[in-house]
This record gives sequence, C-alpha cells and structure tokens, in this order.
Amino acid sequence: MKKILIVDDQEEVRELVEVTLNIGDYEISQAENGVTALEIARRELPDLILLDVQMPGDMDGFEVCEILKNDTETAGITIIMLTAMGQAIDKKKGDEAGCDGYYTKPFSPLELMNKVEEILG
Amino acid sequence: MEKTFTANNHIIRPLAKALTLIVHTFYQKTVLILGVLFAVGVASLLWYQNMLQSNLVESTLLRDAARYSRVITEFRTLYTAKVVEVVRPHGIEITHDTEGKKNAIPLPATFTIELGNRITEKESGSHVRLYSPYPFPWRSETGGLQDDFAQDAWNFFQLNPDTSFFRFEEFEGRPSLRFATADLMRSSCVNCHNTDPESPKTDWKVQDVRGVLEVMIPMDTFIAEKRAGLRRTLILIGGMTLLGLVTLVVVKSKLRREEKQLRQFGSIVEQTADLVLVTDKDGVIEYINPAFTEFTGYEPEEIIGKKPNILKSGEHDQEFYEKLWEPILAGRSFHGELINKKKNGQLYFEEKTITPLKDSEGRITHFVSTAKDITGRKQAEEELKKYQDHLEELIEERTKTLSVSLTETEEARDQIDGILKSVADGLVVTDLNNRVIMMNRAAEDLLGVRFSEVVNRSIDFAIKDDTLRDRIKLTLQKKTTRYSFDFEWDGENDLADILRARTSVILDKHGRQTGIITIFHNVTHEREVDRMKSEFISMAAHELRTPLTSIRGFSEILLTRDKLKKSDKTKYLGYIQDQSETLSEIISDLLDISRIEAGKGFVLKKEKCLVGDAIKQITKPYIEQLPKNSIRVHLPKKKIELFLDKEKMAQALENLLSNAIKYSPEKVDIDITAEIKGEYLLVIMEDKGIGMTPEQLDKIYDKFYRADASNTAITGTGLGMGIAKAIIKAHEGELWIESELGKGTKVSFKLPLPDKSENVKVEKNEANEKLVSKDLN
Repeated sequence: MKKILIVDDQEEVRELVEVTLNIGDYEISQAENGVTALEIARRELPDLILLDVQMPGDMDGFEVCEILKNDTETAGITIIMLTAMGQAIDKKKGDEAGCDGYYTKPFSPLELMNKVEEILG
Repeated sequence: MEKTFTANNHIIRPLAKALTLIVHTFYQKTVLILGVLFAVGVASLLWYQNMLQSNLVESTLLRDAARYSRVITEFRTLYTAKVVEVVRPHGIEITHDTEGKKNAIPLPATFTIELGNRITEKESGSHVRLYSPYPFPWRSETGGLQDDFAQDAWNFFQLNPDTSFFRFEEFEGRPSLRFATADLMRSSCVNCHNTDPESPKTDWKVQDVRGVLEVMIPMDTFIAEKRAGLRRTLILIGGMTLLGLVTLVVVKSKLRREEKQLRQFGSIVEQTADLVLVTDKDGVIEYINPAFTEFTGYEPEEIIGKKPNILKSGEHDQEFYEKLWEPILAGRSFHGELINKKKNGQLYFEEKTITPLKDSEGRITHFVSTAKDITGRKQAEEELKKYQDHLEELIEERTKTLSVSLTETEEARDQIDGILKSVADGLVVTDLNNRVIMMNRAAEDLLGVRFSEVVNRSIDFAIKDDTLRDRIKLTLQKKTTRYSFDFEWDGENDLADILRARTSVILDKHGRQTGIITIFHNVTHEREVDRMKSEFISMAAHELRTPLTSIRGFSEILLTRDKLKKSDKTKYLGYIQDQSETLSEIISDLLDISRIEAGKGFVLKKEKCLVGDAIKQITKPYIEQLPKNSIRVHLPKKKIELFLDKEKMAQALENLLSNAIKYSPEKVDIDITAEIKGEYLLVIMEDKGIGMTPEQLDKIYDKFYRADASNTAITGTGLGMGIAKAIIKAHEGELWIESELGKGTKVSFKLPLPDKSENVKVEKNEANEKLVSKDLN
C-alpha cells in the first residue's frame, strides 16, 4: 500500500485532501506544520507528499521540500506542492526547491486524484 | 559817440562827417602821416641848423676880415704918422725899393703890401692884398685889378667908399670870404702920389679911392666843421627817429589792438540781438542799441534822457523792483526774468542782467542792462508745462497701471518662485555648461547640499551620484531625449532612498536649448507601497484561495461522490457555508478599504448598543478557542449604551483583537478594558506580543501593510488596522496605538458619550429608552 503524507496548517484542507484520496488504496498520514512533516517523512518515508507552503512556524513548504530532496534517504519521495500561492515566482521557487509538481488551490479533487493515481501507478 | 552827433541840426552833420572822416583817416594812416611830418621836421631842423651855422660862419669870418682889415689900415696909418712923417725930415729915403739901400724905409703902401704878403705866407690860406687899377710900374705885374671881385669891389667903392664890400666865392679852388675895404687917399699921401714921376696918376685928391684892401679868408675848414656838425645832428636825429618809430610802431600796434577790441565791443553791442540799455548813475538812459529799438519800438531820441520805468509793464509790484535793485545798488549784478512793455503796449518777457559800472574809485557811474526776449521761450514753456502736466497725468496713470501689472507680475513671479521652491519634488536646473543655476528646497534636502554652496558650480560638485550626473550630461548631449530613471541615494540615515529623476531639456521660445531641468522625488515610499500592493495581491489571492479551496473541493466531492454518509454531507456543506462567509468578509473588508481610500467613509447604521455585550460577543469565540485566561475583559459595572453601527464596531473590535492575537505568537495575553473617561468611553486593548518598531508603527495604517511581511505564518490582508481606525473615526472617535518592540502593543480608542441634545433626541424618538439614557449620564 502506497503511503501519502498530507501537510497543511488548515485542518479543513487536510480533511478535503484525505476525503479526495481515501477512495483509493492508500495509507494516508497528516502533518500540520513543516517540522512535523519532516519528522513523519523521515520516519515513514511516504511515496508522495502533498505539501502546503504557508504554514505557521519556522519552516515553510519550500524549505521542507528542499531539505527532503537534499537528503538521500528522502530524495526519492515525490513531492507535490499544493498551495494558494499561484504566482509564477512561487512556482519558480518550487522548482528550485526540487518539487515534482505544483498544484494551486483551489484545486479540483478529481484532477488531484487522477494525478496522484498517475504518479503512484 | 553817435548820440552826441545825432542830437542836433543839419549843418553840423556834414562837418561832423568830414571830421569823422579825417579822424578816421588819421587813425588809419597814423604812421604814414607821422612819418611825413617827422621827415619835414627833420629836414627843417637840418636846414635851419645849416643856415644858422652858415650865418654864424659868415658873420664870424666877416668880423675877422673886418678886424684884419682895420688892423692893417690902422697899422699903415700909424706907420705913416709915427714913422714916415717922423723920419722924413731926417733925410731918410722913403721908397718902394729899400733893397740894398741905407737910410731908406718902405713906403706905407709898400709896407702894407709887404705886411699883407707876410700874413699871407704865415696864415695858411689867408691873403691880404692891396691893389688898385693904378699900380706903380714896379708893381704892374702883381698889382692891378686881377679878377672880377677886384673889379667889382673897385666899382662899388667908387660909389660907396665908406662901406665894405664882400663876397663868398671860390678862390684858388677854395670857398673863401673876400672882404674888401676902400683905401682912401690921405692928405699926407696925395702930394707924393701926384708928384712921383713914376705915379700912374697924378690928379689925386684927398679922400679919393686910391685902392682896395682885400682880406681873403678860406672857408673850407669852417664848412667841413659845419658839415660834421650837421652830420652829427643828422645821426642824432636818425637815432631818435628810429627810437621814435619803434615806439610809434609799438604804440600803434597796441592802439590797433585796443581799437579792434573796442570796435568789436562796439559792434557787438550794436549788432547783438540782446537788448542793451545804458543809464547813468541816476538811471537816466544814455544809450540803447539797435536791437532795443527794433524790439521795443523806441527810437534812441525818444528814450534817451528818460528813465527805464517807461518800460514798466505793471505786472510786477513795487516790492519786486525793490528786490531787483537791492543787489545792483550794493554793487552786484542782478539776473532774472521780468515782464516789460513795448512802445506799442505789448508785453514781453525778458531775461535781464543789470550790472553796475564803477569808476576806479568804486563809485557807480553807469548801469548796463542787457536783456534777451524770452517771450517765445516762456510761451513754449507754458505749452510745455501744459503738455508736461498732461504727460505727468498720463505717466501717473500708466505708472499706476504699470505698478499694478508689475505687482501682479511680481506676485506671479513670487508665486511661481514660491511654487518651484516649495514643490515637494526636487528641482535642479543646470545650464549648458552643466552648472547649477537653480535648486529648490526639496532638491537641497534630497541631495544634501545647499543651493548657495553650489550655485554656478558644476554638477560634479553639487551632485554626488554618478548616475544622476551622467544622465544629466547625457540629456544635454542628446538634446531631445527625456530620461526618467530611478537611482539609489545614500541618505543621511544610512537607509538608501530610491529617487526617481526625470531630466528634460529646457527650450526657449526660439526652440534653442538653454539648459536641463531635472525633477526628482523620493519614491522609496511608493516603492514600498508597490511592494505592499504586490504582497497584498498574493495575500489576497492566498486569503481568497483558502476558503475557495474548501468550497470548490467539498462541493465537487458532494457532487461526484454518491456513497457519502449523510453526516459527512452535512459536515462538508457546513464547511462550504463557513468558508463562503469568510470569503464574504474578506470581500467586505476590501470594499471597506476601497471606500475609505476613495474618501467615501462608511454609511453607518446606528442603533442602541450595549458596549459591554458587544465586547463579550466578539471575544467569546476567541476565549473559547484559546487557553484559559488568555484574554481578560474588564468592564465597568454600569452598563454603557451608545449609538453605534453594531456591525462596523464589531468588525473594528474583531480586527484589533485578531491583530493582537496574530502578533502574539508565543502566548496570547490580552487585556481588554472599557471605562468612562470624562465625556468619552475609553477602550484599551493591550497585548504582550512582539510589538513594533517606531518605523513599523508609522506605517501601521497603511493599506496592505503587514508589520512582518516575511512571516508567512501571520496571515491577513493588512487592511484590519486601517479599517478599524476608519470605523472609530466614523463614530467621531479617535484611535491611537502605542507599541514597543518585544514588549507588546497597546491600542486605545475613545468614543464620545451622547450629549444632552442627543439625549433629547433619544427621549423624543425612543421614549421607552429614557431610563437607559439617564443611566448613561
């Protein structure tokens, strides 16, 4: 069973993503900030992380992405940014951080589902 | 001079003319006439002297000759009487020839002749002869009448035996006096002569002229002396003449000069156009010149002998004349203008000078008045004055107009100057040589230089910044280009300001380039606002996207999933509704702020509102969410009721509270206090959050401003504080913030309590709320 980690500071959004994905056969975990996200990622090594950018605390999504991608243990995790920051400059930042995909909120649950299925096969 | 002659009758006139002519000629030919007279004089003198000397010589010679003659005669007489008569009786022969004979003496005649011969021999040039036409035979050769003079003398004596006969004539080539006296036959002699056998004549009678005794004295020495004397005289006279001539010439030339001057003066006075009048010391007119006659109409004979007061016009009073004469009688000149009258009664202006003439002892002898007719000038002056007055009026008028325009122009200039100087944008004008010719205050402040320090100096000196300098120079080179560019300027407080400069070529009215104007202003703030705007956009996008994510996501789930539990469906719909509300609030905030920005303010829907309840209602959800005692609300015991727009006030409170919570990331510790302070309700919300720097505090009301934009965790549109302040202001209240970095922020606002008039209004409209209103007071 593929593992997916959902990272977002807003509970409602985490719930939406989980509801979207729980029709598939995935093991889903959640984190509400960057620090927690890193911890879970390193421990469970999920196949996919859906990562929000703006979160309270010292670490935003881009930094989490960058750290994970620079860590050989976690570099293989597919990371898709899921953020309300939809400007080109933000997408560029995502690329620099090494993310594998960039989705802007609001998103279509169907599309996200299809994308996730495509990635995880 | 003329007046003397013009005074009288016609007989004298021609004479006078002739005399004048002579005098005139004399004056003119003085030297010639004097020369002639002098020559005549000299000639006469010489002639007279010559004559005098000749007479003197002749009379001297005559006297000498007569004396000789008498001496000789006396001698013979004496000889005859004392010698011959005495010796004769003693047998002494008396003969003409005594040579070789003893007892013989010469005859008186012979003796006399001998004497004559001796004298002739001794006295050079003089001759004494005794001769007669009847010589004795022994003397026939030497005797006898040998020349004309002898003959004439003989003849003369025949008639005048008692007088002498003389002539001045040449004798032996020398001028001589020939003086002859008659030798009369004496009684003692007649006998012998008549008896002597050799006597040529024997009928002598006593007193007959027997012969002629001639004494001849040469004159040439006297003549030479006389000539020498004449020559000396001539030389003397010649010398004197020369001296005289020199003197004459000198005197003459001097005279001529003086005469010329006199004549000039005379003719000046005669011919001058000025009116000349001369009076004696008593003011009696002695002379007027032709110009005077021509101008006034008075002929000399009419006016001479009269006093000048006949010219009085009557235009001046007695005092005027007294003043006029005062300096003149004191010996000074008078100069001034006065009005006089012509013979025909016409008045005229004259510019008069009256000068007293004095003799050598300083006594006034005459008064000379010279005058110019200035009537024309006076009239012209009058005209001119009229014209001038008019002109002055005109000028005054124009001056006024001009002064008004000038004032206006000056005002306009000052205004423009003032505008340029006080315009908030920096303004620097440079000339074609890149020298600063103008700089306003803003430019001084922005560039940190004083205009007075850099005026007429190169921009290299005035402007530190290379970019700006180069752009100004470049603008000048390219002539028509306008540049607008930003550059960083290191301000005084180490914070780089961004200045935006715009350079343009200044063209004069002929289109020629005269310089460069550079306008610049500080765009640091604008840049900041730009930054904030773009932040806001991303913020707004984020804020809008968050609720939209839920709405879109859950609605899609609801639409596409068939097998949802009913409880889930309800839950998801609740999410959608909540987020829709959030969205609506955000939009409402945006609308509010845009209204505030547009200056429209709020439309308040005021209603009675208990402040305590409102505060409780707002804080309730936060208090429930946060740990206990995070938010403490302190309210007065008395209920406070105000007329408020409940919704807006709630929005304001919520904004303030959410800010306080947002900027207290570690631990929320907030006190909310409401109390009555005088005529106001004072509400204070104090947190112990991160606080703000003074710079952040300055910008707190700026639209979209978020104190810590880099902190992505602190969300919000950045509109909250601005909206809150605007709402309080709309309620005629006041909001202020105190904050210290790291210690927290204290937001206070006060709202006015309703005054009496409002109470009356309340009482009227809402009678049943009377008690509540009273409580408020």
